[in-house]
Amino acid sequence: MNNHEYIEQLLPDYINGTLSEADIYIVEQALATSKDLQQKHDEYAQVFSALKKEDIIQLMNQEAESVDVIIPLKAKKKMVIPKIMIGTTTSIAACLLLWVGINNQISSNVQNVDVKKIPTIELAETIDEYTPLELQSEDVEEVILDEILTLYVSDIESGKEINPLLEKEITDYLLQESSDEEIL
Amino acid sequence: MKPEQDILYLLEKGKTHEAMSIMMSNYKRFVHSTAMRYLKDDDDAKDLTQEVFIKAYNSLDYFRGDSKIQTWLYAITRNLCLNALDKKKRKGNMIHLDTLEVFSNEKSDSLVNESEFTHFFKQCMSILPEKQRETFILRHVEELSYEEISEMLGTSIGGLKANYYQAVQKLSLYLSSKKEGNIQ
Repeated sequence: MNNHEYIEQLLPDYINGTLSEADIYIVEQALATSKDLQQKHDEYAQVFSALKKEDIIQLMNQEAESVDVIIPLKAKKKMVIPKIMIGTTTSIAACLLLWVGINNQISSNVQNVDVKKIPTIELAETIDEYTPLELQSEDVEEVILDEILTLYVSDIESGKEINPLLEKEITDYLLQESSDEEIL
Repeated sequence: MKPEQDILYLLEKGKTHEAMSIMMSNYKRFVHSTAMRYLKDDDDAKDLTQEVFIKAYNSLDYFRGDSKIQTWLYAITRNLCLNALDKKKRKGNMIHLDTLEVFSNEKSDSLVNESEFTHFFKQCMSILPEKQRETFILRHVEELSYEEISEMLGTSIGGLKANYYQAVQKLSLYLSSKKEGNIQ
């Protein structure tokens, strides 16, 4: 497309005043020097004069005036789920079911473990960390008796303050042990 | 606020009926005139206008405001028009010749009732191919930017500028011929 053709193509928008300022300048420069372009300008201006925007809109309005658009209330819009959402929803539902299933399995496993649970006893660093209740437990008595006694002796030697209840329990136990031995 | 913003605001607030009411009062003319250009029959255009707004109402969930409402309505209208023309074409192949004669008589009667400008405008539009006609109306009457028209028609901006120029050029030649008395 040469310059003349390019400017001729701009003429309709120039006549309607919808050109950019830069293009208006180019068109006006060309119009000032080219009689052919001036003639084209006049011809195209006649088109817009014969087919005025206002007249066309008026005609369209008249024609559309008798159009009654009624949106029936009963034709309430459907709940539309886009196709892509259907796949996503299914995936989410599947994941939820899987998650619930896994959780149920885990909790039932935990319950089973609870039933069969074998009490484990963590060793305290010092003897006064054991409560009298723990010391009364058969499990504790059997499993850590030796350790308790060792710690008890070591705590007394190092001058640590011993829980009085614990001290009483151990003393009773040792007395009981020694009386048993005497009987024997 | 512009109708476009009003509609979007109401849709956001969930006031669908109010939004539809503004949409119909502002774009009824646009939808009907577009339908008229495609279908060339007032009754069909009226029915289709109704259909367009019902479809728009039912498809509001799809509308996310990515494009302008006018662009969205144009796409719906164009699709429905092309479907209707396709149906008509298939049906038309089965219409008997006698029936066609009755239709043509009805058309000539209706032309008598048309105003001079209406007749002139329709003649002008009839000489333009679809793309040039649509570009001319959307640019000159609806005052849309080339970018907006490009979105509506799916044509490049360069192509649209050429279409618009060619439409004006053809109309100019048509007017000259009319003046010289070659066309009534």
